[in-house]
Amino acid sequence: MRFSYSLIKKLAPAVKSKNDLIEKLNLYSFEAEDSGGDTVDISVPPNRYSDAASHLGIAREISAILGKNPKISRSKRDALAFGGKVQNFKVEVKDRKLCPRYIGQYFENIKIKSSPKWMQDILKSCGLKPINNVVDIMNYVMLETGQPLHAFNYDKIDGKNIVVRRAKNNEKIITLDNEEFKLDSNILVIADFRKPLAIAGIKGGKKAEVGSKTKRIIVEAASFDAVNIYKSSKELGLITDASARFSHNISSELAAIGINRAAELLKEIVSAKSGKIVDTHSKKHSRRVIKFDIEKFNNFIGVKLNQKEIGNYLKRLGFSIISKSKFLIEIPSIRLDIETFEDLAEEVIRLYGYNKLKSSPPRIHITPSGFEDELILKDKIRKVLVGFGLDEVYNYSFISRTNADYTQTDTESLYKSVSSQYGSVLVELENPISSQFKYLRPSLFINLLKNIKDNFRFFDDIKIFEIGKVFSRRDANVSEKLNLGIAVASKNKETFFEIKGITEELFKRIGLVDYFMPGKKGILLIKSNGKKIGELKKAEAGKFSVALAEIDLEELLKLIEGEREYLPLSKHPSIMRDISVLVSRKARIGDMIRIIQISDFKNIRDVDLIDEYDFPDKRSFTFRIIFQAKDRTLTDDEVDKEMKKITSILQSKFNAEIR
Amino acid sequence: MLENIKKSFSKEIKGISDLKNLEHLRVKYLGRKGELTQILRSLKDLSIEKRRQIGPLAQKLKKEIEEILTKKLKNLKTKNLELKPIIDFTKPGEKIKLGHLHPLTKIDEEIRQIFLSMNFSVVEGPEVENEHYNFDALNIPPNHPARDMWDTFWLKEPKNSKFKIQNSKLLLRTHTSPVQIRYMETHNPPFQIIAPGRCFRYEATDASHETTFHQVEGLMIGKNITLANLKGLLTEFMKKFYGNDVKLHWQPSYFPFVEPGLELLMGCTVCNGKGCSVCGQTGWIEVIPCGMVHRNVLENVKLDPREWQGFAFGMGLDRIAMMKYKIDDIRLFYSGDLRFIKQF
Repeated sequence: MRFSYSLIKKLAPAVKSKNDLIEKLNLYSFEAEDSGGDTVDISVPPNRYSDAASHLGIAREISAILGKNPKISRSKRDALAFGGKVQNFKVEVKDRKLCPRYIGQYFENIKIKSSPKWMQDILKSCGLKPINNVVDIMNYVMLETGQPLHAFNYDKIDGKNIVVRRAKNNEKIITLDNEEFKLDSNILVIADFRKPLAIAGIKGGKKAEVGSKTKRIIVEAASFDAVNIYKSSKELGLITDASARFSHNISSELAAIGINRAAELLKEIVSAKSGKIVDTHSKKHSRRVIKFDIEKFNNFIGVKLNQKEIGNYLKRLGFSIISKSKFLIEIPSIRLDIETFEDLAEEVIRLYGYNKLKSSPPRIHITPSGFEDELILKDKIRKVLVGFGLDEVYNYSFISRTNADYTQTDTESLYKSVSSQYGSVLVELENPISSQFKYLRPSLFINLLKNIKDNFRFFDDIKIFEIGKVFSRRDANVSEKLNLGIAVASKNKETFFEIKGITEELFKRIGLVDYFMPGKKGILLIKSNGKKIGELKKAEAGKFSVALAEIDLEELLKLIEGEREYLPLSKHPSIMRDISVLVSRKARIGDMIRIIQISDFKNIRDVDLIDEYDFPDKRSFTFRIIFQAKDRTLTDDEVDKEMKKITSILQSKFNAEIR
Repeated sequence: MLENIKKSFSKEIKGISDLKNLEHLRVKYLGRKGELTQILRSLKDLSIEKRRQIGPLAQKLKKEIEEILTKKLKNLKTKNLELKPIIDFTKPGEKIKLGHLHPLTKIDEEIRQIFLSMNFSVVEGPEVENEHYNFDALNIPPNHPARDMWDTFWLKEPKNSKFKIQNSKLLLRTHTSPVQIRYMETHNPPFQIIAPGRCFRYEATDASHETTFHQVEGLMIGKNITLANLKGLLTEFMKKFYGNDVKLHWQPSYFPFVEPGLELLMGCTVCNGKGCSVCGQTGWIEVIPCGMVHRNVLENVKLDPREWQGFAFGMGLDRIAMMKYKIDDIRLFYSGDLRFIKQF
């Protein structure tokens, strides 16, 4: 919010310089910065609009900080006018909830001219355009007091009756800048008996605009329901200085302060004569009092201040102490932000100074601290994979369904198949930042493929992984799962078995023992305990090789068995035998190894594939089988017997020719 | 005779390039049946006079040949040595192929370790949240401009309205603060936790703005946890993370879920506080918004504010990583560009 330094200085003469003001505000109140010239930009927080979003408010703050009194004289209500006899207009508020207070005052003898230079300068410093003396006074009073005002041309008000009501559906209004808005019953308007004159709290209308020929006016100072103004201004897409202030809930007390100041300036500058004033809410505000518990304060902040010191800070900020013995504090009615003891505590300690407050280490309640299991797993996986030479990437959580950007790539078809596979359960954003980021990722594959494609420009071999959340629709809810994605790609060599090896070794390192990998239509599933926990696949990437793996870490976590037990080192030697077979091209290596492992052969410690060769119609494999007994040294005869059995089972099950 | 031997030897030795042929040559002249040996041996059959004449010459030649052979042998041996592989320690080391952690992972790990050492536990929460946890429970009321401080990605409701019975609208969390609520709802104080995680803001991206970023939330609740303790803890953290020389500064600030609310600033490491584009010429950078947990927030999770009090803080990992590694474009973190990742 923009402020005029010279006006602040006028209201708070103790301020030394603009820099001094900015520095002090930053230290004790609000973020502030120099915007050049006379302008200071101050971020008034949303809860301080009622008392501080004005030059008076900032003058009060800086004076409190400096421990000096601001030069603020409160304009008095014009007593003569108050009792004015001429009953020349009426105000009717139809919805008291949306408009708790409406003050209207009649002025005549108006001569429209331009406003004085000093006023124009201040308006300009605050980013407002001078228009004419009446409109400028309205805006100036808003800047000075924080109360938005509006002036209507009295002679354009049909029936001289101001009605505050909800708009009718499809009712139209043309605003001051000649824009037409279609209204509905959620929106409050200020109207005469025919037509809306203004969108309440947001913008004035053309009909009763103050123009060069205006002689008589009604000035409005009202308070409106903050939520209603906030919603209406969003609905209309119309955010104005007034609507921003009203949206923040400002005290109805400001309306009285504003109208009186406006009357004062209209007389002074325009030589206007004031008339009847209507106030729909003239009764006094109820007093708000909070008991200040000094011990509680010191225990809350971690400081030792006494009643005198605390009282002093509060008084500087405009709070009054109505009982010294009970330390009861009365809250000024415009301080809508002060509701609880803690709010008051903040006022005291910030004026005392956060930098002055001595820090002290907390007395920590010792409990075994640690990481959640999922975090531990993530850390472990990262360590293992980086050890295997993989680089970690972070991708966006967003994808687009069409992926128009990547259609030229080799990886296009896989990309498409992955997306379509998840298409039905994709989670869609209501307000995507662009069509490229319309959905939440259902899988890590899609963005990993993009990484491969991008990095192929600079690297021939790529090994990457990502740990991240993936999303899918589950009825009204969204299922959010933690996945690990791995991609291994090369321009020169087959990568599927590398990713398979990486996956297997990873499982071993993190303690997943019991799993198997059944093949299924071009993908290799990873199953454990009857559940699918992940999959491996190859991407169509032309002459390049791209392999992918994705694993559900939440499922994985449930299956990990922790530390493996130590297997005693065998004291007896092992015997190694190789067997070479020639089989049809349909025979699967995994099936052959499994049958050797699981059939009833004795003392097999390990089976491995050590050689493979492709012929036009057959394939040749050499398996190495290691035999070892725990309790004795095996004899060649024993092993020969087992090898015979293995030979015959490979012959019968796979029609293998032994070479 | 001797002259002939000398000549032929001189000629032959020139053509010798290996040890084997050198030995052959030696045997040819000096071996038991060697040409010179035979002459020396035949001396005894000669007259004394002749003996006196030839003897010393032959002995001299023998010496000469021996000398030449030794020299040649030495020569050849050195030559052969040069052909053997030698270890040159100045050769560049072999490339060890380890992968690289993402810089945000490294920062995250470092922060977690520091807080773990101060007896904080580390927990996580969901990235898809609802309005209640992201806003309402944190004392950010609906239809209030305060909520506009967080530009939000909303999730579209499913088309088939059969499931539309949603009490609280779904969104992508705009901060890690909902984890405070989730943790307090399910745990009894006293406790101290941090919660790192991914967050989202609906905003156009450029070098310093991203739709995606990472935060670490902190929360400590007990019976006597004070604002001075908040200062103490964060000061300790900043010293451990940035070193003892770090300059700290505290300012009042406003966040609906804390009261009092503060902002911790650190002296800009890029310009050493002189003012630069990174710190907006102020010399200071806002790093940790923090404050005492608001009474309404405690009440929302059914904790009695007369009994429990504490503080909360949050810090942006991306900003911290950018300061630490002097990275000038936040978008690099989410680019998957290995030329970037491989530097960490």
